Amino acid sequence: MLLNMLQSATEQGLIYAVLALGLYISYSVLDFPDLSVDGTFPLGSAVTAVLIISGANPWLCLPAAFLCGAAAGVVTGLIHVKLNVTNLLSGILMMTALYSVNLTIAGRSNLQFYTQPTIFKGALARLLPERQAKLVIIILCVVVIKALFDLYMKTKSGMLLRACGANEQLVKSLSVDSGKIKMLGLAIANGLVSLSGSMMCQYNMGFDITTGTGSMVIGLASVIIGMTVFRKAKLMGDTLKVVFGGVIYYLCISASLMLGLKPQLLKLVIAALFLVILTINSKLFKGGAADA
Amino acid sequence: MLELKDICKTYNVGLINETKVLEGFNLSVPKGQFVTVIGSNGSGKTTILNLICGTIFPNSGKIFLDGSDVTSMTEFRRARHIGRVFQDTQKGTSPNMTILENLSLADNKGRFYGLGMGVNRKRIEAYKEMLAPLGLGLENKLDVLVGSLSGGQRQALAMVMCTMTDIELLILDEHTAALDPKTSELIIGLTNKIVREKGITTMMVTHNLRHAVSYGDRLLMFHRGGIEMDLSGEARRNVDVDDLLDRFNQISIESGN
Ligand SMILES: Nc1ncnc2c1ncn2[C@@H]1O[C@H](COP(=O)(O)OP(=O)(O)O)[C@@H](O)[C@H]1O
Ligand SMILES: [Mg+2]
Repeated sequence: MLLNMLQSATEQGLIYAVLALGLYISYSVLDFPDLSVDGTFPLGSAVTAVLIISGANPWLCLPAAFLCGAAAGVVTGLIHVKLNVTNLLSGILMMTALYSVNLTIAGRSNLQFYTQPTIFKGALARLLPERQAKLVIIILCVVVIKALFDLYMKTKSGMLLRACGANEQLVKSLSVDSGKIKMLGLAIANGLVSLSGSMMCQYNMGFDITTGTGSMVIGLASVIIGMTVFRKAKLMGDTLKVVFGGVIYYLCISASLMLGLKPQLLKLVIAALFLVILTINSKLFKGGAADA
Repeated sequence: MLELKDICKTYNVGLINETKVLEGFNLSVPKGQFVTVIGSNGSGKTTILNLICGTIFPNSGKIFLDGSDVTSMTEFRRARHIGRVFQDTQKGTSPNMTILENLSLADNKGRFYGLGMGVNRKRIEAYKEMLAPLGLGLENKLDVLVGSLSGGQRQALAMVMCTMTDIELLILDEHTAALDPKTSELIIGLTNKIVREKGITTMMVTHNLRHAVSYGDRLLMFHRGGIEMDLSGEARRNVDVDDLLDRFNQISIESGN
């Protein structure tokens, strides 16, 4: 019983780890507190639900969700770069607009597809022992996503992205449009968030418009937990820290639910927990991320 | 060759804090010339450099670089032909990356930053050869994060990075001002060496009058958005720090402060 709950919490934590990787790009790498993720997470879910119900291959839903999220990220970037709207406001605008977009895509505020195939029910799942199938498939996805992510960060484009967050002037000096690099970063970030939304939707066999609320906080908390808990682990890459951060965070949330927390209080606890993390974090590294 | 024609620059046009800095400013710098620029605070030196680099744009007038009109070209496009080192030692490098990664980024300037590997291991030897002459031991620290280097080391790296690809113009804005005297000498020596070896057209703003007279082919003194003194050739060779100080004093008496 306890083991089951632990397993399902780990599964969901790993799905949120993909969201956290997205937040790692926008928040840590680009230094852009991007609130559009509260809209791009359910965007991935909505797109996936509609595709699956119309009979599409569930695996294809993952790249499809990524692309939709990326497109939304580009729009957030355009609002910020071309129209000179502050980064926070650009994200809020996008999040608000996406609420309607998501409802329009899904047609209503929730959609179930219990009988349709998902990545957890396909040929791959049948090869695996039934009880571990979901966990194995999620781990597989996260490993592949993390590997591609790490590889990208070592490319010329990825290195420029890292430089852009730390020193935008350098990017300009290298004769590159730093605005485009920000858009690229937001595209990847929101692509990952949307991908995470797609996985979560397949995991829950349904789309629900409310799942987006708090995505930013969940992702950011995961990033900060990972970076803080493992700050002394020199050999551990940032992305691994972030992935573990996502798992740890979700385990905490599940534990509080198990200990009898009323579900309607969940977001309140999430916000409170985030505040605690921010406070601890800024005490550890003076001025750290407290200005989020 | 760099040319500024009839440049006017007013900050905050139409606001109560409107500041007219330049009015009908002209300057022509022939190819390969090394110009040192001095002038009191607020005389418009940084404004001129920002206009040349496209960080800001003139209200009127034209800017030519190698014969082509770059007046309305964006900063990042112009940067293709211009190298720049700032007073702020944080601005020329990326602190969250290693020396090797920083050099690799700079090495690719002017080309596409795509999905190829960011670091080309085959270039490591070449990078070491560029760093060794600095005498800072950076060639043995390729995998060290730039954020952990001293200001002087970062500035030296920034000099190397912005001159490793072909540029037509080098812009230096008090790039030794934030360094201690010893490091400042080291960076100015390095600057002179690079500028002379590569024959890059250079404009260097400095507050160090000794640097201004010891280096460069031409000396400009700015005052209130105009060129107060423009020395080259014989006159430039004969000028010394005391002459410049006298002139500074004279100017401040004339302008009543
Ligand atoms: N962004 C700006 N907005 C308003 N005024 C400015 C701005 N930048 C410079 N100035 C004004 O323009 C004048 C020249 O400044 P600057 O070019 O920085 O001089 P210098 O580099 O020679 O010290 C000063 O009076 C300064 O206050
Ligand atoms: Mg200045």
